[in-house]
Amino acid sequence: MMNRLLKEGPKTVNIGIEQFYLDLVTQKAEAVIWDWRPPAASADLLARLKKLKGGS
Amino acid sequence: MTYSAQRLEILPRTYYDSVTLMLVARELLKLEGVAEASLNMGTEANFRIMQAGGFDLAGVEATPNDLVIAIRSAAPETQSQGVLDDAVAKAKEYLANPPGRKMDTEGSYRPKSLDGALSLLLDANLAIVSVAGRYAGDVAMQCVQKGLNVMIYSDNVPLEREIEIKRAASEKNLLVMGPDCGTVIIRGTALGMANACPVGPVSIVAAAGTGLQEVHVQLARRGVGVLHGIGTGGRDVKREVGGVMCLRAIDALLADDEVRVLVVVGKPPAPEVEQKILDAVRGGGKPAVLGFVGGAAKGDSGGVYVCRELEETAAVAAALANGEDAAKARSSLFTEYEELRRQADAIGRGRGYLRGLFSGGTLCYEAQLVARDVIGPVRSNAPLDESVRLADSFVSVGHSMVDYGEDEFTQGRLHPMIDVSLRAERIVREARSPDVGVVLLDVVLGYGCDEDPAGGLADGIRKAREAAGDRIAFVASVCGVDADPQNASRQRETLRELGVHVCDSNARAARLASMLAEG
Amino acid sequence: MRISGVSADFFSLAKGAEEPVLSLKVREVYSRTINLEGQGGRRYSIVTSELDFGPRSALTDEPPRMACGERVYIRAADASVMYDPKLPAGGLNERWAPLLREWSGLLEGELAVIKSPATEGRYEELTGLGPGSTPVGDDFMAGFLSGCMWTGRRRPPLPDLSRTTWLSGEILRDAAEGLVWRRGRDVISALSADDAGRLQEAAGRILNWGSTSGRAWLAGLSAALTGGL
Repeated sequence: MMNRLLKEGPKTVNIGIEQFYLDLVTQKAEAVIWDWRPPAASADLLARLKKLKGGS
Repeated sequence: MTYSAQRLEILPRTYYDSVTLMLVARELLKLEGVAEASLNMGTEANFRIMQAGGFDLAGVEATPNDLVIAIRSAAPETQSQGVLDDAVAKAKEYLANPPGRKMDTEGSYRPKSLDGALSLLLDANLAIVSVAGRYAGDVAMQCVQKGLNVMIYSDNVPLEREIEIKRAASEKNLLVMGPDCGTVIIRGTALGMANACPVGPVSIVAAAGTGLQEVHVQLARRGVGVLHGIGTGGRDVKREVGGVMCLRAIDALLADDEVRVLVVVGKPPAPEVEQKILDAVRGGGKPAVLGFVGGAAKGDSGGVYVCRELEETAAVAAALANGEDAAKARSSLFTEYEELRRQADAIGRGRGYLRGLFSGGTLCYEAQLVARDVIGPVRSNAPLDESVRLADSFVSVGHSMVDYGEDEFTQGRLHPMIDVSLRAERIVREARSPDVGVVLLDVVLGYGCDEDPAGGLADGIRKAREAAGDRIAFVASVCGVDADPQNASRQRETLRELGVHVCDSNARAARLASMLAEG
Repeated sequence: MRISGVSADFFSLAKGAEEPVLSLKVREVYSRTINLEGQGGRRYSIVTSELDFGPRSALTDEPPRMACGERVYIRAADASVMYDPKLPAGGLNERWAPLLREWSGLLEGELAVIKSPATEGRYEELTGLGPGSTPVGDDFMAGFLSGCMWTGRRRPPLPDLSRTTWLSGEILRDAAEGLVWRRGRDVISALSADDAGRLQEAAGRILNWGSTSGRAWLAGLSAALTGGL
């Protein structure tokens, strides 16, 4: 809820640029990193794409 | 001009975040014989940037999902191949083990799922999303679904997605700040690129990052603190999104008894959104200052004060916070601006073309506005009017101001406030043109920004002086405070030591620079 | 060589009632650890870092210079107990379920070879399977066995240990007896507590251990704790 954020201050999940997380730690704000990776193309999708390109 | 030997290596379907790419490039530049090193995703925009940096990309085929390692050697021909081979090998090594990464806890486990992260921080209330734009929407939506407020730093999130995410968030009474929101302050804590100013009775809603930063800093200079600075992203106040998050934030702050003065700042919103904002603040029961830079509205009434510039907005808000006369504060400010004429006379006017190079979009915008009244319309890649758009962002014409935060400079790269190297190079190029007489710069400090922007720009300024001697007057403003990691006073000192005229605000710097250019 | 501390079970098999002595033969020499063979072919270890403690281990200040085949006698005098290899008390804090789910997904990349026998419960196939100085299939089983022993879940029988390395076999025997290595014990202990930082640190340490062993062990532990196979 928005009000909780404004009243309690940020308790943050950081996704992406690590510096933003480090800066929160420096400011003694609670934070955690979600080590997100881009989703890999599914095997099924790749197989379908191969078919479209005329491969086996 | 012949190209010195270069090597281009393409790593297909390889993803590294921009910070890693920048850190690796920096390390490669330290290698003996390497003249230029650049790691970028294979986007068209990056190709333009690499070409402008002197690489020959003829016949290169890469997609935006491929990583392009570009190295140029300054070594004599017999040694070049060796230098290039080494550099490419080192690049791959560094990519596997990024250099210069500061870890607060070496080797501490980093969760790979949102649920995992939330199990470690049970009362999380915010997510900051700064992944590539094509993924950011999905990531943000997942966070909203888990009940988190979200700050979306990423840009290039499709408009329909933004609307969808904000609708979902509204249903849960959550705030979504962004996309393209780089600056937020919550209870004085800086999020993204924001300054270390004290807390106080003013809160700000901003549709513009550097707009928020400049007002934040100008208030701090006047001894007035800010509790919350809520960014909405630039598109929120356009017609399609309808100002949904801007209005939500305004309502929340008007209802909050910790907030005594409300400021709303940014480039002018869509007319219907501006009307909704006016209606909201008029009924708000607390003094409000609207700082729509270059907006048409005029006139203070019923506790709502209308300003057109950022320092002006801060001066008026500070007066209100201190129970002083706002109109007087405004007129004193403009009187001080008049004094800049004397400074301009002392430095020497009529110097030639003005070239502004900005990292902050709103600062560039405000500078164009200020300049227009002194030297007429200036050209820009983010112009006040389409008729004065620069044909090529990489080539200035006449009086020009370039916003380095625009897409052509930032796709798949770091924001110019984190990486000043492109602007430093441009300073040198501008200096070589004999018609150029004034260079105007913004130096934005704070968390999330380059650790020494003045130092990075100083390299460019020194080289420019070598090329142009005293022909060019350098004017800058430092948007920051001493408590920022970079320390504003030291940054100003670095610039002053190089003979840069450092002004106390962007508005002053733009005025001084325009007066110097004016013939 | 000065022993500064031992695991609680170090002298449990020693001979001599009044002044226990261990007679051990050096079997494997690594940069930070030496593995020795004692009575009944059991593994003993001399380690140089507290983090490397395990069952029947002793800590010294400097890496001792020993050669394979050398015989060593260690006396019980003055060595303080620094590590208890028995599984910690306490139960799984359900708060950590999402992380256990993540760790079940560790069987990718170099560990992909053990993924289907592991997830389909074909434990006999895991013995001696996969890369690593201790094969990752055995590391997975060691974590799995420890997880079963900790939760009181029925554990699979020990495989034919002649099908794998001596060291892995010993690790599996210890796991089946409810004895664990320090890094693993720290994770299990943190999983019963409520301290996020402690769990992140323990998990980080085990994942940084060896290139694949830690990951496989953690995947095995998670499989046992989530009952998901």
